[in-house]
This record gives sequence, C-alpha cells and structure tokens, in this order.
Amino acid sequence: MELLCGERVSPVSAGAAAAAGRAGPDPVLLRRRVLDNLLRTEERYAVSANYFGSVQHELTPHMRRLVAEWMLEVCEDQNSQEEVFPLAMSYLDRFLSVCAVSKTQLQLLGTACLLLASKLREPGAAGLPADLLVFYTANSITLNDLYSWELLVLSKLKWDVAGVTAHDFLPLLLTRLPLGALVDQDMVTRHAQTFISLAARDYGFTLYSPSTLAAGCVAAALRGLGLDGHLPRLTELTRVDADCLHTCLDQVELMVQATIAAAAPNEQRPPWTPPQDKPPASAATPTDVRDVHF
Amino acid sequence: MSAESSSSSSSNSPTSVANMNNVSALFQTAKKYEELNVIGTGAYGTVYKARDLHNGGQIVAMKKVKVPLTQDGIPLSTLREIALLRQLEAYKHPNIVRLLDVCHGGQPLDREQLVLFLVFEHVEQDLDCYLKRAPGPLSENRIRSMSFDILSGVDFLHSHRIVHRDIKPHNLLVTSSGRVKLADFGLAKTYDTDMKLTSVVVTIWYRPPEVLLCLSYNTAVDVWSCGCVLAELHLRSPLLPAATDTQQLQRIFRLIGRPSEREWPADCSLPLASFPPCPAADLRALLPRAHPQAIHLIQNMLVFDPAKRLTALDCLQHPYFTDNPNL
Repeated sequence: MELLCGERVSPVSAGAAAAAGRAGPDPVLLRRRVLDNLLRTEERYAVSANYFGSVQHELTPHMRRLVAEWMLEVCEDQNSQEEVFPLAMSYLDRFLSVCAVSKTQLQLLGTACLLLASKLREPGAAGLPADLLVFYTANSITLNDLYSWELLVLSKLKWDVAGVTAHDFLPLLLTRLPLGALVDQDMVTRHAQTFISLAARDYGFTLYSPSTLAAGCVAAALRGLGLDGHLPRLTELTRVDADCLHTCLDQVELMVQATIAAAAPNEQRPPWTPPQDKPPASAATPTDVRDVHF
Repeated sequence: MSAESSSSSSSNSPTSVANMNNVSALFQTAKKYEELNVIGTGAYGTVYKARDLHNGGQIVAMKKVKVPLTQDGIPLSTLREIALLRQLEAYKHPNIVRLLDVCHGGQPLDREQLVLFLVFEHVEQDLDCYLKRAPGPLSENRIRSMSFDILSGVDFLHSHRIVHRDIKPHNLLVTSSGRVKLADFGLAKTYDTDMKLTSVVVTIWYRPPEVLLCLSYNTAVDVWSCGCVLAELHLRSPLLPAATDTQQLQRIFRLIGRPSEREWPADCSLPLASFPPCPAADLRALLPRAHPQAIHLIQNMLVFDPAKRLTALDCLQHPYFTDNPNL
C-alpha cells in the first residue's frame, strides 16, 4: 500500500467547494452537545472483546489485515467518502465478534460490509454498485452471494448500522483545540484522516473507541507538525483515560513509522510528508484473499 | 397475509459458522403480526395497521417495503431510515416516531424481491390530514404545542448530526392527544460537514432558497421547512405553494422580500436581476389570528441567509415558547 494515500487530489479547490455544493461548516453541528451525543452513541457500536480464538477458530489477525487492505484499496480507487472504510471495518468486527466465518468467506463478508457502509455514508442516492464490488473481488463472489450476505450482516447487526467512526469526531475535536491561526487545520485533518484509515486495517486498534482513536490520531498529526501539548485537552474532550490515550498515540506513531519503513525501506522520508500525487490504481487487480496461503 | 419475524434475536449460536442456512433461517420464524387494514401508500411502499400478536395485541403501523434484489441489494433510503431510527431508538425521544421491529417477509431468496416490514408505533394521522380535517382554526395553545413538538424533534435530530431534509405536514404524525412526531427518514442521513451534497431533497413548497438556488446547505434547511409548517398550522393551507423552482423562489421573495445585492450570494449561478424586485409582505396580514410572538418566530425562521436564520435550539428558546410554559 502506498503510504498516506488518504491524501486526495480533489478536482475542486477549496474556494470552489461551496459553489460545487459542498456543505460548509455548520456551527449547529459543532456544538458541545453534538460531541456529547456522539460520545454516548459510539458506545452502542463498540466491539468489546477479542474474537480471535474465541468466536473465530479459522481466522487470524493477519487475514483480517489482508481483507482490510483490499477494502481500503477499493475505497481509495473509488474515491469513497472517508468514513466508508472504517465504518465497513467496524461492521466486520462486530460481525466477527458474534458469528464465525471461514477464511474463504472473509472477502465476501468484507464486500458486504463495504456495500452497506457505502450506502450509509456515500453522498447522494447511491452507494458503491454491487456489480462493481463483485468485479473488485475478481468475480470470486457472485451478486447473489453479496445480496445474501448483505442481509446476513444486517440481521446479525440487528440493522443497527448507522455507526460512528473516528472521522466523525475530527471536526468536533479540532474546533475545540486552541491551535491558533498559524496551524493549517486542513492539513491536521488530512493527516489524522490518513492515520484513521491506516489504523482501521490493524486489529490492534479495534478495541479503541472511535473517539479515542480520533484523539490519538489528532495528537499524532499535531506532533508530526511539531505541536505537542494538546493531550490534556483531548483527554478532557473525549473523557478517555489519559493513559489509554497515551497508549493509543504511541501505537499510532509506531504504526505510521512501520508503514513508512515498509513503503520506502531505502528512503528517509519525514513521517508527515504528503505524497505528491495519487498512486496508480491497484485495486482493480485485487489481492484475492481466498488465493492467499495463510 | 402476515409478516414473519426476522432473526433479529439471532437463532444461530454465536459460534456457528455462517453459511447460506443462516440467511434462509431469517425467513423461517413464527408469525408475529396480523394485518388489519391499509393506512396509506407512499413512495416507499404501503403502510398497514396491524396487531402485534406477541405483545398483547398492541396496534402498530407496518410499513411494507418491497426490496428489489436485482440492483444493489437493500435500497439505500430504506437502509438509512432503519439505521437512523435504530440509533435514535435508544433515546426514546417523544417527538420521533418509534421503530419497534424490522421483519423480513416470507420470500425465498431466489425470488427477485424481498419484502421488509418496518414496524412502527401506530399514530392516528399525519399533520396534513389533521389540518384538512380540522373543523376550524386551531387554538393558539394547540398551535404553540404542535410548533414546540416539531421544533423539539428537529432540534433532537440536529444534536445527533442528522438533517431531516424533508420536513412537511405529510411526514409529521399527530397522536390522538395532539402530540407531533417526526417520521419518514428516507431522505435523512447522517450529516458530514465535508459531504458532497445532492440536490433536490425537500418537497418543493417547504424548500428553502439555498436549496432552490443549488447552494450549499445544512441544518438550516429544516428550520426553513419548519417555518413553513408553523405558518401552515395557522393557515391550515400551505404558506408557499408553487409549481416550479423558479415560481417557488418568486413566491418566497414576494413573502420575505427580494434579497439585496449585498445579501445575494456571490457563488450563485442565477443573477439577482432574474427576479423582479419586491418588498417583504406583512406576515401579520397573512396570519391575522397569530400571536405576535408567533409571527416574530416564523419571520426569523424564514430568513434568506441560512446563517442568519434561527437554529432549532434558538427557536425553542424563543419567547413565543418561554413566555408561555404551558406546553
């Protein structure tokens, strides 16, 4: 995976964004009570326990990682709304914590989760087309499989799929940090978004609440820009345990370093440099998880 | 005919391996609801009055949605509506209709469609019917309490980052005791401040200028629509009926006055000159029986600039309500 590919080259500049019909900042949606409600709502969707070795007997965290990387590639290739991928991963984790699947079913499950998450969070009246998703699996699943599993996932999750992602917390947290005018908030947001996507691939972050992960990723993004010292405020805002947030931040930073090392082993790049252009789409030739010998 | 319960309460042990039998099992549970009669038909399906056989014969409203499985699976609007109502259900807000259950009809999977039953609390009628059936003008207290209910429901949604985007009398339910509940979330979705937006979401008579002008919009769209509905509680007919987008804008400007050059948004594709200049109408003359504070409230909801419009929370704190606590 190309490093930090959450950075997106947008066809519309920020100035033209309003004219193109993008929603401007709405103060009503940034109020403190919105943050409080979101903190309360996220508990509803929490994955509470390690499902490997309890519910799942065949799957390993490595297999989860492979299917997650494939899902992220599909989302990037389709320029999906940022929240689609982590939301799909949260469905996948919730499903896997109640229902055992075999490794041959994992990509099908991931595809169904992507289909659902895109319907919930893509703008407009359409999610990712089902036949396109089948195409991305190199036709290793059928449309009927996908429809059946969409229903199966909905049923196991009790249709409770509105979900909360770490992305949802970013504007609510960032407006409450005393960052000052010199800090490029858009850049902090983009870096935090990238870290959130990277973290969603990794089973080690599953047990963090979206708000904790958001706070950890914001702190990591700020630290990367040389801005430290916001942890107390982030702790206060998310009401997360300070040690827990510290651990999450350390884990995010380790993950970012590891991703950099894996992406450019011979190159010393500063950790927060955005890529100059989007990598060529690789998701059209997907890693078929079924063909991987675990 | 009857709906069959889904396996929402899962019939599979947690450790069983998922397979097609899991899916088949969704369609094999006992009859739970007895249909009584058709209440109405809408864009998404038919609504029946029904009896919940497992809950002491409680009367419920069942929305029957035929899901074509030939396109992309479960329709997006159905999915969003159910997911949002499920999320909000935990709060049991008095002004949001309760979603009690989601059932699958007894359709085999190889058929081209699935039948879903959304089981809601049964509410006697919608506000549209209520106003048409009203023998005469509503009392000031009734108008005030209905206005407060509508705004409370909308404010609750906004505090959960949800913009309803289709507030109209048809989507507001009136209980036998006169309380109002928001329903029909097919077009509502979780809002993101960076979301690419779609056009055409509010039924035209209740549509704010920024939507008609294809500008960016946010929670303020619901406040505009509520303003139209609040006026309609006084009028018992729509405040701004028009047939096309352009006529709707002209209608709006005849009421609130054509905006000045300074107010006209720079990023608007239509020039201000395409609308004839006109002064604001006197809302008091249009709503002669309305309380002066009600007039003041509605005027500040029907403001051209969405940023200057009252928020739903502002509305709830307006003297129209706070000076008259008997809601």
